[in-house]
Amino acid sequence: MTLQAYQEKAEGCAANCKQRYAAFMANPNLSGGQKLAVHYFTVAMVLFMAQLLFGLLAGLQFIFPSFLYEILDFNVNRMVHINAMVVWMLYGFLGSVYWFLEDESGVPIVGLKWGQLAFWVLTGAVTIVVLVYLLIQIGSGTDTSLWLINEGREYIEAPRWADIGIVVVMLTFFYNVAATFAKGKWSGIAGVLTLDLVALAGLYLAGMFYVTNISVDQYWWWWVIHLWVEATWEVLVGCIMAWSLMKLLGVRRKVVQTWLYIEVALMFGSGILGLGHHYFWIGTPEYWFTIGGFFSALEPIPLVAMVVHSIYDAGAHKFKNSNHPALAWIIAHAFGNFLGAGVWGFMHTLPQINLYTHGTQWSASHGHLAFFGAYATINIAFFYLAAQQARGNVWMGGELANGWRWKAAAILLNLGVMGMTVALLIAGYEQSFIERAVEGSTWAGYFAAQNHPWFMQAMIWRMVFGLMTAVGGGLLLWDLLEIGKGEQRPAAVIDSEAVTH
Amino acid sequence: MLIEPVALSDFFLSFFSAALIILLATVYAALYAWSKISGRRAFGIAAWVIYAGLLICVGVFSYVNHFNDYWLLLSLLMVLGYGWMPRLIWKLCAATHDDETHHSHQSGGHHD
Repeated sequence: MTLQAYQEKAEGCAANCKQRYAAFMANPNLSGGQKLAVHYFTVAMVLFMAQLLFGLLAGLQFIFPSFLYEILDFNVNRMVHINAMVVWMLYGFLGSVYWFLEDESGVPIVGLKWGQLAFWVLTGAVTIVVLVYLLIQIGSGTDTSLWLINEGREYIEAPRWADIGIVVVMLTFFYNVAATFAKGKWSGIAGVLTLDLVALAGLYLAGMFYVTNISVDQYWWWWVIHLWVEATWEVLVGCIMAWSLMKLLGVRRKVVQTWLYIEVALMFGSGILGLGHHYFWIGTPEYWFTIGGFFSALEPIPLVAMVVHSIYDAGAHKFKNSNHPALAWIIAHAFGNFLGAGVWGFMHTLPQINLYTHGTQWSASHGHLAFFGAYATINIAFFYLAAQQARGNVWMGGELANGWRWKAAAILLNLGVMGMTVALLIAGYEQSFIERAVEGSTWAGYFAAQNHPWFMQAMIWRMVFGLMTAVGGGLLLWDLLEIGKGEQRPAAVIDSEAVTH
Repeated sequence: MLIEPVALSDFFLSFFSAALIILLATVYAALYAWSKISGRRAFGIAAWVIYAGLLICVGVFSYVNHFNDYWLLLSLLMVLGYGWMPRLIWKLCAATHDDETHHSHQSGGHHD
């Protein structure tokens, strides 16, 4: 094919994209905020696919260590895998809030143009950061590389220029949310959400200090990571969940708001001091052993509360709902959050056992199930809510055309993640024994554990279940693009009084 | 107070009892809630049996993790908390849904 033919083909693709984008922006079923939300959801799905791809590559490198060596090294694959996960979660959360903001406040989003601009700025920045990660992989860290290439902090590796950009984007998002609620109606959800966004942004600032002492650096770094995932993200998800329960199940506002307040109190109460379980190994005073251990043990209580509450609601509402795929993912969220964060977290949180398990595949096992169960699931539920509305609020219940697709995607994704979690747990158990207990945390011990047949077998199983997850992810993407197309039946009607103030 | 790590022979017991504590706490909460919503006494009895299992797990967990002094007191508070929490949560559930139950007997009543 000649260069000219390539150019013509590229121009044709660009024109097609423009046409499709124009058709989407003219969709009469979506409000301005909802269109912006779909932008966020789209990038979230792209990043989810990237997370799966780079996770597979990193997983393969455990089995074949020379695979893509010095082309796409393990450290880069792992970094892109983790950062894609963090960023797609945030895209999903931002999109979910934009999705319900106008419905909740009763007015159009204030400063929507700024919100749209912030989306493109953020997406452009994420693209550049990922390209830099992929193209500049090796070299010494300097003050310049900190600003332009990689900040070096696990989970928040974005270079400093991107850090500042993220804060600006988050401030724009905060303005959109706070100003819209200020202009429209305030509700309990609005109050909790607005305060939580202040905490979320404030924590991110805490992760931007530059210090050369590794203990001090870890101290501040953990404030961002831990309190994001165990406090502010949980509260954000609580707000999103509260709204979705009203929409999906027709649960009354008074009920969801009361529960939101209780869960927020429990999460902040246990999450902030539970942070101490990450202080075990950075030289803080020993009283943190007890404080961190005790409040970590309290952290599952909000999850237990959700179980009791969900049984009550299931009994009261008999699972009548307007969107089966979304409800299935919300149920997956309730179980996944409890198992991943609660059970897998408490198994190895106390210092008496964390001495052996800290930083092994045990942590990866907990991380996989907790992030998927607590956050990925609720985002996917919102993707289905968006797909339903974008098609004109069509039927998404039983006998849905190609209904097998969303069911198969849900089964493959949940089984795949659970399988990876168990495989990594077995690998972590072997590491704890051989690397830590028998070999005494030496380099020789580290390599003895990495090369042990039990570890390798567990990693092969992780790969098998990783592939299952990837197939599920692909099926999910396909389903989201197709579900509800050509469906004429309107969505099931639930109690409209549920969404009144 | 220095922390004494788990003995290697107790490694499995430590993480397994920790996992069971959370799982049994939830099963206990779920059975308690189900006994209330279904009105069947058998679920209530099963909830108490599970809670007894929870007590044993906390005992094993405290022993293998070398809990003493105020760690033991904290364990006791925890297990009492896990015992009472589902009951308190249920009362809150019932209170927050109170209007709903009331309205269900008055057709056409206004929901908040």
